[in-house]
Amino acid sequence: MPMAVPQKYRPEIQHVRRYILLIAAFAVSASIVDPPCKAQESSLSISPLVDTLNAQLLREPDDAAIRRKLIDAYTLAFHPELALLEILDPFAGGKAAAADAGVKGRVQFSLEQIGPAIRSLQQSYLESPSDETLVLLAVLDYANKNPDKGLFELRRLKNRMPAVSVELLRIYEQFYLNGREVIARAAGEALRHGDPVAYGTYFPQPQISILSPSDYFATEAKQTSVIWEISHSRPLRTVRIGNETVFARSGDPVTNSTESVRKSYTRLTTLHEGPNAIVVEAADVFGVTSVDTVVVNGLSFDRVPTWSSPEEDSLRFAIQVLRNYVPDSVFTGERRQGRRALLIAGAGAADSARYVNRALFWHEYLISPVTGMVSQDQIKILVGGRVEGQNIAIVMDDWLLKGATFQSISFVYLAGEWRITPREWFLKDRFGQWTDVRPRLEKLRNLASAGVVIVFDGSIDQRTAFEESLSGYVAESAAPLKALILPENTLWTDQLVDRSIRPANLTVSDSLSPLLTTADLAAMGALVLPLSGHDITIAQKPAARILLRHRELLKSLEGKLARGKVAGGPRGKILNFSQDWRRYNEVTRYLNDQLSLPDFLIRVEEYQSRTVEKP
Amino acid sequence: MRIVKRIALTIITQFLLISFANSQAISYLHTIVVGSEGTGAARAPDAGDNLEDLERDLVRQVSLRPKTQLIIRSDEQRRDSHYKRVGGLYASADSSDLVIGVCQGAWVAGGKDSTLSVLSGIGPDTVTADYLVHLMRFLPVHNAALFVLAPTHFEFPRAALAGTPTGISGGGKYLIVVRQKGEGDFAELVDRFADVMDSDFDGTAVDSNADHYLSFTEWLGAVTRRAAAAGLSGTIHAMSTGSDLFIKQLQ
Repeated sequence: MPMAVPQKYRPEIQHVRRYILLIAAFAVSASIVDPPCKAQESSLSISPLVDTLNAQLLREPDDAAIRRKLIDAYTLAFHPELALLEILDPFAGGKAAAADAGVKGRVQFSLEQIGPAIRSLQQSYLESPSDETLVLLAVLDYANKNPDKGLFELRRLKNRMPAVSVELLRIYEQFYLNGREVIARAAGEALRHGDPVAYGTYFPQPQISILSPSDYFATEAKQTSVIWEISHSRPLRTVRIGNETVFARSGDPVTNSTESVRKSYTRLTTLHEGPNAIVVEAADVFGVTSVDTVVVNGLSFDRVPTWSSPEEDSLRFAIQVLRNYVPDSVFTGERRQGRRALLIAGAGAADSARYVNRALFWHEYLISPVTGMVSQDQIKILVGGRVEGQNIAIVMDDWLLKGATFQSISFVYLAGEWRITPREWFLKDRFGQWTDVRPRLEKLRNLASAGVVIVFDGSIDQRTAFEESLSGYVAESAAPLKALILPENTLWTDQLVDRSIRPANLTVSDSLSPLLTTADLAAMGALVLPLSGHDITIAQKPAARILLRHRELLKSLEGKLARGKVAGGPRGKILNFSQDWRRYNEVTRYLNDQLSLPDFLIRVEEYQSRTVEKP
Repeated sequence: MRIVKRIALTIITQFLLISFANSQAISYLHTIVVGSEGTGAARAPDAGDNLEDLERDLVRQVSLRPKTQLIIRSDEQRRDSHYKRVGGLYASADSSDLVIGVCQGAWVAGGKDSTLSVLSGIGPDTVTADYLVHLMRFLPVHNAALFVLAPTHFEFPRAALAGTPTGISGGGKYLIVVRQKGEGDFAELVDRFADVMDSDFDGTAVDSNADHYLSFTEWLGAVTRRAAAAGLSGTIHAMSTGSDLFIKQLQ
């Protein structure tokens, strides 16, 4: 059974309880408002007003007016948790909350309890009308996604309350710096709607200057350094470039909100092919954000290793057969500097896969050390997802046209679905959009370069009109220029492989050329314009080169056999054996004295015994 | 055992009845009648007379269960504020309730802002036009009507209602500024308005959609028609719109 406390000691017990409650309140507030380590560094005193009211309340614990003032002071000092503790004080019996809806509403406002705060403050206004309450209600209307209602209030208040903008700014600053961003945003929005001029004055935007790179700078590099400078009259909270945070302010409270900043930043940024929008964003401690963007055009339209096509595989196989019998040194003599190639296979065509395969075929043909004359860093390929109007524009303007010199020979393969008008040649991109390539091809035509070969492939809606238009185009060329339209033959690439890589399909003669020219493509059914004029070399014909080299070897072999006075029988056997170009290695070794005549004969006889037909 | 069954049945029946009552969203009527005969030159004779009768007529006409009944005489010498009572109305009103009010008295300029024009009176509260506008805006009900009657030379400041649409467009909250056609003293305006409110609205004449129910908009339309017939004019300002409210079944 509890022991009864004498009546005369009850006030003292009440005082002791009050001290315990206050200490508990401060302890709770310290743990809620600040991290534990900060609590020890800061004073327990919130403000002189709170201290005074606390002292008064200790002397007059039943004075509801002082309690309300203390709750108000806690709320204004942005300590709503302490205000709530005071409202819920068991010694006050909850009278404070019941007595004043305004106090309750302001605490709810501080805690961002939008609905309850609206209800309490509306009741508070009707019980005790004041413009200050209407300002809070206007902010709550914005927070409650009712900007029209909020603006209605603000317009009325502005007529009779000149300091309404200052009050909104005070609310914004107080809430934002205490991490209550819902009300802060609403107050900022209210100020922006109600007084746009004041908003611009109070919330200057951080000034961002991107010093490098310049806008629409084009580079083949995979990365670029971005240098920018930020100046602002307020402390910065975050600085970001893309998704990377370059600077983030620590969680320390802002002590000097007018501290100005001027700082430079540098970051290495990864570039993708096509346009890269590099976004720099700076936000100050009040959440005012500035954004600046620089566009860098990435020109790294290199071949993706995972791409493959049957045509390309056939080509590689044919080349590998040559390499089995003939060393690479035979083919590598004709590589020329200044050769460049651009391959575009439109993705919008019905049979676009065929053109993509052909583009990959051309890519392999042009860069292979056996067949090609273009170095790997001088070829760009746009197929599949890369075929967009802006990518075509970037790669033609910033790479093909800008990189052309007097010595350069350009090869351009354009395939896909074509729509032709008298003055425009539209190529369909992967979005179904039409890109007119003629203006850029006209610029290419007018460049004084060593030669231009443009190969058109695909489905052309107005073939006759296109040929006429193309004739006019090539006639006005300043540089050696050949324009080709490939035949719609699905086996066309196989034919090219047969004629240029497989020696069995060629006959050696004085007119046989080791170079693949526009004339070779014309012989395979391509329309070449202009019909007259010099042919332009595109690549190599390794088969012809081997046959010509083989003919020279045979002449040397005959000479050596004659000088060695080799008898007719063995001589005939050796010459018969060496007629096949695949005997290149044996003949070369004999001519270089790496193989003696008897050993050569043994080799020939072994071969004949292996290949002679058994009865 | 029989007694236990009976108790259980009773409890279930009560529970069902309470649930049914709650689901029906019973509507209550809140009335607020303000009268101020004014002070000094800004006087509105008879504005404070018979406010109780006017309030009784409102309750009788609408036939909803009355909940809050506020009668405020602004020229009354009081120490405590009437505002607290208005705040009580706010706290007790529900969205399905109906609020009907009448405010009669003289309005004088209260500052350079017309919305702060004041209802002339002595009491501890300063009723401004802005307060009445906000009362209508803040009341947590979907349907409300507040009639404002003022002498010709001390009219309610219409500028306080700038931007609000006029006319009845379904349920909602309406502030109706009632005036007298032509010249006439304010006492006559008050009398005629009291007569309008005293009249009977039963019958098919008010049932515009012939559904045998009197809705809030039908009642408001009938009041304005009776007022026009009684030589009164006025402007209906829609403060907000909402779903209409059924007041009673017509005979």
